[in-house]
Amino acid sequence: MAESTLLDVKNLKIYFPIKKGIIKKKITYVKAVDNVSFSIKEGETLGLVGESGCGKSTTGRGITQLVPVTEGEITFGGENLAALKKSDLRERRKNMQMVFQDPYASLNPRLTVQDILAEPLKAHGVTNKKERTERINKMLDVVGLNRNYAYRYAHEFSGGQRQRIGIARALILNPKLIIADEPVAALDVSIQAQVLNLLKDLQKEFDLTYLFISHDLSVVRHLCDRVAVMYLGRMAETGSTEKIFENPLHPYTQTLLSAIPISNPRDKKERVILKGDVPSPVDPPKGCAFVGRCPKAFDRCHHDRPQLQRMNEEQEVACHLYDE
Amino acid sequence: MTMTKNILDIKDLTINFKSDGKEISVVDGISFHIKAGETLGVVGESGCGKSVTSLSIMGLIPSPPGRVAGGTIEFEGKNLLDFKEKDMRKVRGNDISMIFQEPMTSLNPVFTIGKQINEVLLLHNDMNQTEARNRSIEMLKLVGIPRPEQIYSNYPYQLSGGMRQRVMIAIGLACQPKLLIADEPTTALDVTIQAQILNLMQDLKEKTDTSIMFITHDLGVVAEMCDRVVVMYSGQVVEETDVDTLFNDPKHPYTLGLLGSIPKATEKIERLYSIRGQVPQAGTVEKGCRFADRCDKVMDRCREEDPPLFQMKQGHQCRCWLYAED
Amino acid sequence: MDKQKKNSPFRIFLRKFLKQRLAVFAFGLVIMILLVGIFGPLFAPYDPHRPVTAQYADKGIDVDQLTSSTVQLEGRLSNGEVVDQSELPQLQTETENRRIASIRRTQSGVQISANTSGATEAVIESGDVSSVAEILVEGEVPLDDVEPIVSQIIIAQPEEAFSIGDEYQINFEALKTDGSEITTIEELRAYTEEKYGADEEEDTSGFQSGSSENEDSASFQLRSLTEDVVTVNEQGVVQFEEEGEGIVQIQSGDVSSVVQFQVGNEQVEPILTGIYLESTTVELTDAYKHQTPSSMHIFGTDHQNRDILSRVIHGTKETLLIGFVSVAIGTVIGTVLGLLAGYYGGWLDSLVTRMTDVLLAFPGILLAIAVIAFLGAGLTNIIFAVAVFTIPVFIRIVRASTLSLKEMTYVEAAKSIGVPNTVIIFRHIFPGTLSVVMVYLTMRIGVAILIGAALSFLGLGGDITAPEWGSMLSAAKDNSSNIFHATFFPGLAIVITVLSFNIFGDGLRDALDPKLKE
Repeated sequence: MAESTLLDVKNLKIYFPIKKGIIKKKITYVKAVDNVSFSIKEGETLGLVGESGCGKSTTGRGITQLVPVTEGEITFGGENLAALKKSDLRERRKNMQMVFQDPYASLNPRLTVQDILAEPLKAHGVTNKKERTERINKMLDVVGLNRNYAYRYAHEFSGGQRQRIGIARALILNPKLIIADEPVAALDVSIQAQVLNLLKDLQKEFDLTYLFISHDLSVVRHLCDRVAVMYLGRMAETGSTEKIFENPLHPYTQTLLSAIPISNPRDKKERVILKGDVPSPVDPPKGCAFVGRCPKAFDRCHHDRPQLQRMNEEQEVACHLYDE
Repeated sequence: MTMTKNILDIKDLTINFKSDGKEISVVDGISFHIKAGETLGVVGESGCGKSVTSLSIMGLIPSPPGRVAGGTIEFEGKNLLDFKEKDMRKVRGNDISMIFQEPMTSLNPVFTIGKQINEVLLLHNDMNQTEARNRSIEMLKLVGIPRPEQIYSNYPYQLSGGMRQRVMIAIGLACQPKLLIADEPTTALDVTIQAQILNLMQDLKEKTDTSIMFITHDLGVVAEMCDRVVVMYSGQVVEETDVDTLFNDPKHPYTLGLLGSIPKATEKIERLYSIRGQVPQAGTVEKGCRFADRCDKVMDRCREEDPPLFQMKQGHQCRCWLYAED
Repeated sequence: MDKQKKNSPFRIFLRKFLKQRLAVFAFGLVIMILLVGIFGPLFAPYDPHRPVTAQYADKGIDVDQLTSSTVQLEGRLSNGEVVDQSELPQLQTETENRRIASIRRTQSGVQISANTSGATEAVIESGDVSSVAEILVEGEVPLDDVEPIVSQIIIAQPEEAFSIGDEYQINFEALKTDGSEITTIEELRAYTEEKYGADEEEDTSGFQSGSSENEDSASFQLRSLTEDVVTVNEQGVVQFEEEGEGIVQIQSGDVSSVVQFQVGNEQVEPILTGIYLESTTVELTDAYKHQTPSSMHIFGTDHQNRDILSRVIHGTKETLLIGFVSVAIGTVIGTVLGLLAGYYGGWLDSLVTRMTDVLLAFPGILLAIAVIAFLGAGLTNIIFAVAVFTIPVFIRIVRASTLSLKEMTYVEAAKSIGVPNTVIIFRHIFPGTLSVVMVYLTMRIGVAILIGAALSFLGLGGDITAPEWGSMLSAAKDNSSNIFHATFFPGLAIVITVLSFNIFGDGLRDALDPKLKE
C-alpha cells in the first residue's frame, strides 16, 4: 500500500509518580501506559479499545502532550515531537486535535459558541475577525448546527449538539489527526448514531485520520479500520477490525468480545465470564498483565512478559499461547 | 399463555414537576404491569421519565418540586399511593427494593459492608445481630463475592465498582423482595464486569423468583435480560411487547429507529440509521404525537392529535397513528 | 440576539439574586452606604471636627438661648413696696460652682448660663439679704438625687410700731425648691446644720479651703443687726430695748432675710427685707458636651461637643476606604498569586502555600497589630495591615478553585488546541474563580471594616480625633456607662455596614452557586 504513516508511537511509557511521606519521597509509579507501540496511516481510523483504567485515554493525552511522556518516541508527520521546540510543538498541535468524552465539561459554560470556536483560530494567528466569523459559520454548517447558534451559550445545548460544537472546535483548524476520546459514550443511543455518522462523513470530506478511543466494541467495529486492544497499560492485540472481531487471538480480546450484550434475543451465545477485576496499575503482575484473570494462563505467563508478535499480515498479539 | 398474577400494576400514572412556576408532566398517563417472576425492561433515552417512574413506585419522588398528579400504583392489589410514609417504609427494602446506577455513591462510605446489609435485615426482620450477620454473609456469598467473611468487615472504598454493585444487589435482595427495581445497574461498569453482573442477576432470578423491573437505555442489555419490554418516549409508553417481538417485529417508528441506531459488534454496517433532531424537553410538545418532529413516517394527523395506544396482537401495544383501524 | 442576552451567565445570576429579598435589601443598604461615603460630607449638618457650639453662630442659632435662662427677681421693702432688680443696692451674684454655671446681671434680672452638666446653686445677695436658686444642668451627670434646698426665707413684716419692752414672735416661711416650707426655727436650724454643717465637715477634713466668710454664712443665724435697739433669743422672740430702728436677720447658709421693726414713733426708712426669685429652680441643658439626641442633633454630640451624625457620615468615607482599598489590594495580589500557584504548581506553589500557611497561622487581628507595630499607626498602615491578612485568604480560595478548574475538560481542550497558558488562565480559569472571589470580596469587606474599626479603637489608627467609627467608639468608651448615644450610633453604623456586606455576600454566594436552581 502506498499510504504513508501519519502517526507512529514507539515504546510509549507514561508513569505517574505517587508521592508519599512528608519529604515527598517518590516511592512508586502508576504505570498508566507501559511500553505501547502502534502506528496510524493517513486516512485510517484506529480504534483504541480497553476497559476503564487500561491507559487508553492517557495514551491519547500523551500523544497531544497533555500529560508528560516518561519515555518513548512519538513521530507525527515524519517529525519526532519530543525533539521539537515548544513554539514548534504548538504549531504542530494545529494538525492534531482532540474531541472529548464529556460534552458538558469540555465546553466552557461562560463562553458563547462563537467564542469557543474562535479560540483555536486566535491561538493560531487568525487575527482577522471577518475571516474568523466566516470560518466559524462554515464550520457550523459542516457539523449541522444552525448559524444562529453562534451567539448562544454552551449550556443551552443538549448533549448531542454540544458534541457537535466540540467536533467543530477540533476541525476548525483543518487538522490531519483527530484524537477522539470516547466521543459518544455520554450520548443517548439515537444521538450517538447521529454523531457517529457525522464523524464518518467528516472523515471522507476532510481526509481525516482518527484515533478513536472507546470502551464500546460495537461502536469500534462500526467506525474503525484497525483496532488496538489495551489491558493494564499494555498492548494486548492489534489488527484489522475484521480479524479482531472474527478471529480474536488474545484471550482478553476473546472475553471482551463475548461480554458484549447480544443485539437480538434470538442469538443467545455462550460467554466467557471473567473472574475478578482489573489489577492495580501501581503493582501489576510480574509476567503477563492478564495472567490473574486469564482462563488459559500457564506457568510461563506468570514470569515472562509477552511481547507483541506478528501472527499474520493484519494481526499482532502479545500472548505466550502463540510462542514458537 | 399462562395467567400469572400481576405483582405490580400501574395505571394512568402522571407525575408533575414544578419548574419556574409551571407544572410540567414528566410522566404522562403511563400504564404497565409486571407479572410475578417476570423481568420487565423499561427502555428509553435520558429524560423520558423512566427513572422518575421507578422512584414513584418507591414513593421517593422529591416533593417539592415533584408530585404524583394522578393514576394508581397497585402492588399486590394495594394502591401504594394511598400508603402513609410509615407504611411505605415497611414496603421499601422489604417487598420492593431498588439498585441504582452509581455503585460508587450508593453505599455509605463510613459504614462497613456488613453493617449496611445488616441495617436492612434488622429493619424488616425479627432477627438478632448474629442471625443478621450470618444472613449477610450468606447474601454476599450468593452474589458471588469471594471471601465474604472478610468483605463483611470491609469499607466500600476497599472494593471495586463491580464488587460494590454486587453488594448493592445483596442489599437489594437481602429481604427477599417480591420486586427488584434495577435502575441502569450496569451502565457505570466495564463490559466484562457488566457481563458478570448480568449473569449474576439471571442466576439470582432463577433462584429467588423475584420480579425485576430493569430500567436501561441499552437495548443489548434488554435483549439479554428481559421477558417483556416497555419503550418510553417523552413521558409516555410508546410500545409494549415481549422481547422477541420488540427485536424482530417492532412497530413504533421510534423503536425501529432506536434499533437501527445501534452499531452491531457482529456485523459491519456502512451507515447507521439515525433518528434526526433532539429528544424534546418535557412539556414542550403542545399537541400531536411527541415523536412527530423526528419521525420519518409522520403524517398530518400526527401533528394534530396525540395517538392512543393501539392493540397490535396479544400483549403488543403501540402508540402510533400508522396502526389506526380506520 | 435577545435570547442570547437572556441566557448569558450574568442574566441567570441576576435572576437568581433578585429572588433573595434580604440580599437585595442588603445590597440596597450597601449602595446607600457607598453613596453616603462619597457624597456624605456634602450634606453632613455640621463640621465634624469642631464643637457644635462654635458653629451655631454660622447657622444662625443663638447659643445663649440654648444654655441660659433669665430669672426675674425683685426686692421687697419693709413697707411692702416692691422694687425691681436695678434698684437693689450692692447686688452681688455668684454661683457656687462656676464650672457648672455662671450668672450675670441683666436689665430685667439675672441670667444663668450653663457651662457643663451638674447641679449647683446661684446666690443672689444684696446687703444683708440673699436668696438662692437651684441650678440643674442636664447632661452626663445624673441629677436624680439632688435634694431640694431652701431658696428664700420670707419673714412676716409687722406693720405696727412697737414700744420699748414689747415682745414679738417672729414668723417666717423658708421656701424650699420643691415647694415645701419650713416654718419653725428648730426645723430650719436642723436643715441648715444638715446641709451646711456637712459641708463644713468636709472642708475641714479635706483641704483647708473654707474661707472665713464661709464660716459666718455656714450656719444658722438668728440675730439682731441692731443690738442696741432689739434683741432676739433662740426662740425668735424679739425684745425691744430702745427706740429706733431694729433689724433682725434670719440666715440659713447662703439664704438670709431681714425684718425691720419700728420702735417708738419715729418713722424709719424702709429697707430691703428680702429678694424674691420668680423661679427657684433653673433647669438648663448642657450644650457644651454630650448633648443627647434631639431634633438639632439627632445622634447627639460627643465629649467635645461634635455632632455625632456628622462624624458618622464623614467617618463612612474613611471606613469604606479601609474596607475597599485593603480588600482590593488583598484580592488583586491574592488572586494573582493563587492563580499562578494553582495553575503552574511546582516550587511556586510550594512557596506560595507555605507563605499562606504561615500568615494564616496568626489570627487576623494579631497579624494586623503586628504590622501596625512594625510600620507605626496611621490610615495607610491600617489599610496595609488589613490587606496583608486578606491576601492569604484569597490565595487559598483562588488556588483551590484554580486546581479544580484546571482539571476541567475545557481547560484540557484549550491546551490541546495550543492556546497559550496566559490566555487559558485569563479566559478559562479566572472567570471561573470570579464567582467565589466576588463572594469573598464582599464578605471580606465586612471583616476588613470590622478589623479597621478595631485597630482604630485600640488607638492604632493614627489621628484619634479623626471622625472614624472605631476611634469614635474608643473616645466615647470611658463615658459609656452613662452616655448612651456616643457609643451607640458609631457602633450601630459598624454593625449595619458589616451586616449589609455579609448578607449581600451571602446572597451573591447563593446566586452564584450552580447547585442552587433558579
